[in-house]
Amino acid sequence: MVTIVFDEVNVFTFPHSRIKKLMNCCTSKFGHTDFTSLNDFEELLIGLQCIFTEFMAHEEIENHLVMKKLRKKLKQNSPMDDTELICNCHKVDRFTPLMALFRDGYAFIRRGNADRMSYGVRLHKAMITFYNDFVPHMNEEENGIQPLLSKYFTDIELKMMRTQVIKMTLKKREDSTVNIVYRIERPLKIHVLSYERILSIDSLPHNILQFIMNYLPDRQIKQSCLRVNKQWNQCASKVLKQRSPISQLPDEIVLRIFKLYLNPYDLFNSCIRVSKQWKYIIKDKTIWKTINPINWTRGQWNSNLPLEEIPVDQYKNRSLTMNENRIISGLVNYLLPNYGHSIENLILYGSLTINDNIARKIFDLCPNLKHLNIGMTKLTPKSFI
Amino acid sequence: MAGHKIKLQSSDGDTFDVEVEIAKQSATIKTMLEDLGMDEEEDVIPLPNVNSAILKKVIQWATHHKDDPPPPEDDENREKNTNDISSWDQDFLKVDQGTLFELILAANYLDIKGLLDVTCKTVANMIKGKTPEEIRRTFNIKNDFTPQEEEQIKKENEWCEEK
Repeated sequence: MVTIVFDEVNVFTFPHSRIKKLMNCCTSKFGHTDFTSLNDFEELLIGLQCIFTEFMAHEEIENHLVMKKLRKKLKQNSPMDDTELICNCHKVDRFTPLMALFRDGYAFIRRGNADRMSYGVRLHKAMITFYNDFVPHMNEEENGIQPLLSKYFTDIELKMMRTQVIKMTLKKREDSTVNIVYRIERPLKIHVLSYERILSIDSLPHNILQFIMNYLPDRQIKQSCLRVNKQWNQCASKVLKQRSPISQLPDEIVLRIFKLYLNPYDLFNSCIRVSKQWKYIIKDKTIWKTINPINWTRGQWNSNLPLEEIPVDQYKNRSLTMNENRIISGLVNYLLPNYGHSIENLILYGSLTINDNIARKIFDLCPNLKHLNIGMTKLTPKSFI
Repeated sequence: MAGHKIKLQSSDGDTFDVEVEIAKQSATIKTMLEDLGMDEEEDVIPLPNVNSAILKKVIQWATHHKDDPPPPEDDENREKNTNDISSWDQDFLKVDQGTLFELILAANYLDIKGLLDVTCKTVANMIKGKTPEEIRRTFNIKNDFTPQEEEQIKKENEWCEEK
């Protein structure tokens, strides 16, 4: 048998219709909020706080005027299970976390757009959770508790209860929210919603997102796309992999390979000409802290330790001198103007050709020099003047 | 404690039982174990940056190298020798480039010095002795220099070409 409850004895319908209206207002206000606009954002927070204060007041009123009385009646008539049902449905604290979330929101006014938008997403989720919980709760009251009320109270008692509820509801509304509904219901200028844009790019399938990322340069993908979220990270790594597997490596690791395992010959002869990114990494000053260009003239590119043996053979000596002239002129004309600032430790041990004049030029180009090895050279104190 | 095991969980959710001594070659895991005082069998260490295939390889490498002495510290002045890769490691690293670079990333994240060393050396060997164009082809790198820029850089670095 369906219990028919007439409207004038239903204590829930009036406040509930008001709440449903307010909920619609929230949704519409949410939709019309541009999260990149500080005014919109603040207005939304204030609105939400007002509305939810009214929701809280509503629950208070119901507790005080309806539930308490019903519980009392039930105790007198005593079916235990019914009492439990009612105690539970109003015990849940739905509001404290939400109100806390709204209050937190004010801190986001000073933050960047992205932060505000992600807060918006969080807020949206929390609201949906609230709706999903609160709408069934109202239905439960209307369909489960109202029949109980009708069972235990006379029509006249119920009518009085309803009037009291309405009176209190109206009073609370006047106290707490001055014309809030009017303000929210007024149609707002519709922005293209930045907030919804996040939601919609979120729902793009992987292949489309990858397609979009294909248009971005490596650096951009590595610096930001990889860090947006899991889906973006997956797509970005896939794009990088397809592009070139080595581009997955962060610059620090390529630098490590250049610094620890490749020598200046490898770097200048080929690596620097590969790509702009590699050329840029080679500029890193940690690569050039210590150099021994004299070793380079003898074909020893892998080590900075000075070579001990000094050649005596005349023919060999001449080819070494030629080599030195070539390398030292490259050093002075190209390497030092670009990398001289990075050099802290310079080894010229055993040079056959460097004279005071060239040495002075070299020192001028290495302003951060801390150690200098000029053993077994022709240099005199004049080179330091 | 010999034979004592911990569980490592890859990014795709698979767990691997690994002896503590083997896992501790990763400085990251070692610190985690020490800081968190995790020593109960039930504990699972999540490794969200490493997938199952790569984690399997890493464990295989660490198991083979469990009795190695600790690798030397990074030193920019040590001789840049890339020819000292053991034959086991050479075989172990006969993998496609994607796997090789993922191994480097995993070794870097897990802070396994020896593995990072040997994988980086392998990449260095792929670079050594090649012309810029050969390097680009090897790694599928796009040449983003204009012909003029390319000419300029070539000129600036001619001095080191051995004659």
